[in-house]
Amino acid sequence: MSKTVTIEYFALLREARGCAREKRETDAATPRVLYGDLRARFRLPISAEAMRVAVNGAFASWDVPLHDNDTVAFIPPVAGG
Amino acid sequence: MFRLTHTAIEPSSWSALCASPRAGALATFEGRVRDHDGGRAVTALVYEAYEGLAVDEGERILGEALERFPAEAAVCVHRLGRIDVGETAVWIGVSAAHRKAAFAACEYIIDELKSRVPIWKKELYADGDAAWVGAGRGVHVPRAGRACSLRMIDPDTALSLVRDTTEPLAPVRVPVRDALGLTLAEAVWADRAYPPFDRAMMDGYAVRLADAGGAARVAGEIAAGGCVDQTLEDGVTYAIMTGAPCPPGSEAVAPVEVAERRNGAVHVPSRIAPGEHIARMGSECAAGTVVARPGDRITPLVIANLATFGYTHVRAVPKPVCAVITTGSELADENGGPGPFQIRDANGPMLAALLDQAGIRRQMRGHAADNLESLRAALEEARHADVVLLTGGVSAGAYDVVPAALAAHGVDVLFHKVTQKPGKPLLFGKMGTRLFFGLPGNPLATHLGFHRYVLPALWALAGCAAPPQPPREGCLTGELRGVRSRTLFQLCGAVWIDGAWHITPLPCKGSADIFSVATANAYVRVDPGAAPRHAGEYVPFTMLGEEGPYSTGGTPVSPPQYLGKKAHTPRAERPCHVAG
Repeated sequence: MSKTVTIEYFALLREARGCAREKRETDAATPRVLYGDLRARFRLPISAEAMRVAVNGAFASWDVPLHDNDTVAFIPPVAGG
Repeated sequence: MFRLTHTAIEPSSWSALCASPRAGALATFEGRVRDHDGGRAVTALVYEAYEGLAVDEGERILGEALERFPAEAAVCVHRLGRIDVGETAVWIGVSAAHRKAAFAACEYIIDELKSRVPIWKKELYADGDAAWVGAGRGVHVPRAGRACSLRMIDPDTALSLVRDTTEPLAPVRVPVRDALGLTLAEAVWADRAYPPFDRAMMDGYAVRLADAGGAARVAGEIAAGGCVDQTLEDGVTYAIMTGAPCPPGSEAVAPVEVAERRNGAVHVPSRIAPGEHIARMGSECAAGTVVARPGDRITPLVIANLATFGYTHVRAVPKPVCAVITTGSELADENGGPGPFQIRDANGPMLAALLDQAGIRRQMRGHAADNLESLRAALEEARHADVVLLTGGVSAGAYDVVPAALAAHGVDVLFHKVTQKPGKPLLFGKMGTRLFFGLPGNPLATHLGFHRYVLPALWALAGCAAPPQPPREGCLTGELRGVRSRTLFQLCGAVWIDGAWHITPLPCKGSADIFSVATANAYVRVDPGAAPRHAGEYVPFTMLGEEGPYSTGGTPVSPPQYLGKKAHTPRAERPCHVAG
C-alpha cells in the first residue's frame, strides 16, 4: 500500500543523497525494503547491515512495519567523541 | 544530563552540575581535537548529530552509568559544528563517593557514547581533503569543498528542504509601532469590555421608553468623553452626542432627526425600540476576549486592537537580520570606476533592494575576494546575521571557493546544485539555526534564487505559517519553450488588459542579461520535457514581489460549513508548500 514517509539522511549518506530530508511516496513495507529501493536508486554508499535505523525518533528494527507519515532516519556508523 | 551545544564548552560551568555533598570525587574526561589522525595533518573536525535521538540515547547511557556504578551525578556535553585543533569536542563529568566508581563511570560513558550515540564527525585535512570518520573502509570525500560531492536535486525538493529545515526565530518584545508585518507570539486579549460603557451611536437624546410619544425635559448635554452619574428618570432626557456614554437607566437614543425639541423639552417619537442606537457595554467585545492568536500576522487592524487594549509592546517573531556578501575580484571598487576588465556590482544593490522589498530592515553588506582567507573574514564579520547571502564563487571554477569556505566555516551544506535555469549552482547550508545561501554570480540566477528560495526562508524565520499566494493564470502573448533537463523559470511581463492577465515571455541572452528583462514583473515555470506553450494558451504565473504569504486570516471555516451540504471540490491548483 502506498504511503508517504519522511526520510532523514545524515553525514555521508546526506551528502550522497544530496539532501538532509525528503518526503517520498513508497510501497515499501519496512525500512529495510525502503532503504534497498533508495540505495539502488541513488547508489547510496553504505549497506543496511552497517547501519541502524530510527523510526519516528526512536531506534527501531529494520523489519518494523512502515505506516503513512512515518519519519525514517538511516544512521550511518557513528563517530562521536 | 546530556546536552549538545554549538558553542565552546566551558568545563567549570558543567562541572558545577556534578556537585553533590555526598561526592568525594569528581572524574572528568575531555575529548579534544588533535592535529593528526592516521598520519595525516588535521586542521579541524566538523560534527553533526541526529539531535533528538542523540540526546535520548545520551541520557540513556548516563542512566545506565548511574545504575552500574555507585555514582552521584553524571553530565555529558558534546559539541557540534566546526571545531578547531585544541578545542574540546566532548566533556564528561561524574561525581561519586569514591574515585574508583567515578573513573569507571566516566570511561563507561565515553565508550558507549562513541559506539551508540548518533553523532558523526568529518576530518578536514591540511591538504584540503576531508573524510567522514568511521564511515567504513574506502569511504572518502574528495576536496574540502565537500558540497561538491552533493547530488543535484530538483527545485521542489530544494524548496521543501529550505522550508522544512527553517525554524521561526525566538520571539522578542517589540514596541507596537514597530510590530507591523511581524508574526504574533502571544494572544491579544481585551483588557476590558468594549464598549466600556453604554455608548450612544447617534446624535440625539437618551430617553426612557415610558416617554415614547410624549415629552421629556432636557436636563443637560453629554458630549463624547463626558459623563453623567445621575440615573435617568421618566420624563427626563439628556442631549447626547455620538460616542458619548448614556446615563444609567437610558433605554434608547432618539436620533436628533426624529426628536423635535421645543422650549427645553423634547418630543420623543412613539415608535422607539428598546436599546435602539445604544451599543451596550461589552456588546462588541467582552473583557478577556482573545482577538488574535500566536501565529497571526500583525496587520494594521491588529495594531488597532493592540492600541485599544493598551498594549505598548507585544511579543512577536522578529524578522531576520541578513548579511549580503558579494564575492569576486572582477567587481570594481564602489568609489572608483571599473577597470577595463572589471564590472560594476549589480548583485549587491539588487539583493539590498530585494531585502528592502521583503521588509528586512536590518541588513549588513560585505565583500570578499576569491580566496578562502578573504571569505573567512567576511563570514566572521557576518556572524550576527541570521541569514547570509553570498553571491558568486559557488560554481565549479578554480576560483569558486564559496563551498569550501562555507564547509571550513562549519556550515552544514544541505544542497548544492538544483536542476533549474537560471541558477543551477545554488547552495543552501545551515550552521545551528543560521542559514547560508550561495547564490550564483549571474544576476538573474541570484534574482531567481532569492525569489524562489530565500524569500520562503525569510518568511519561515519570521514565523509565517500561511501558504504562499497561489499562482495566477494569464494568457501567453508569445511562444514559451522549456529546456530539456532543467526546470525553466522564465521572466515575463504581466499586463492586466480587459479583465485578463497577458503574459509576455522576455527572452534573454543568458543569466547575466538583466537588460532584456529590466521591466519583468512575473515569472512562469516550465518543467523539463513540457510541451511548448503557444500564444493564446493560459499558463500559471507568479507575480514578483507579491509571492508573500497571505495574512493568516484567522481559523478558516471548512467549505462544507459555509456551502451547506453540497460537496465542494476546490479547483485543482499547483501544490502549495506550507512551511512547518
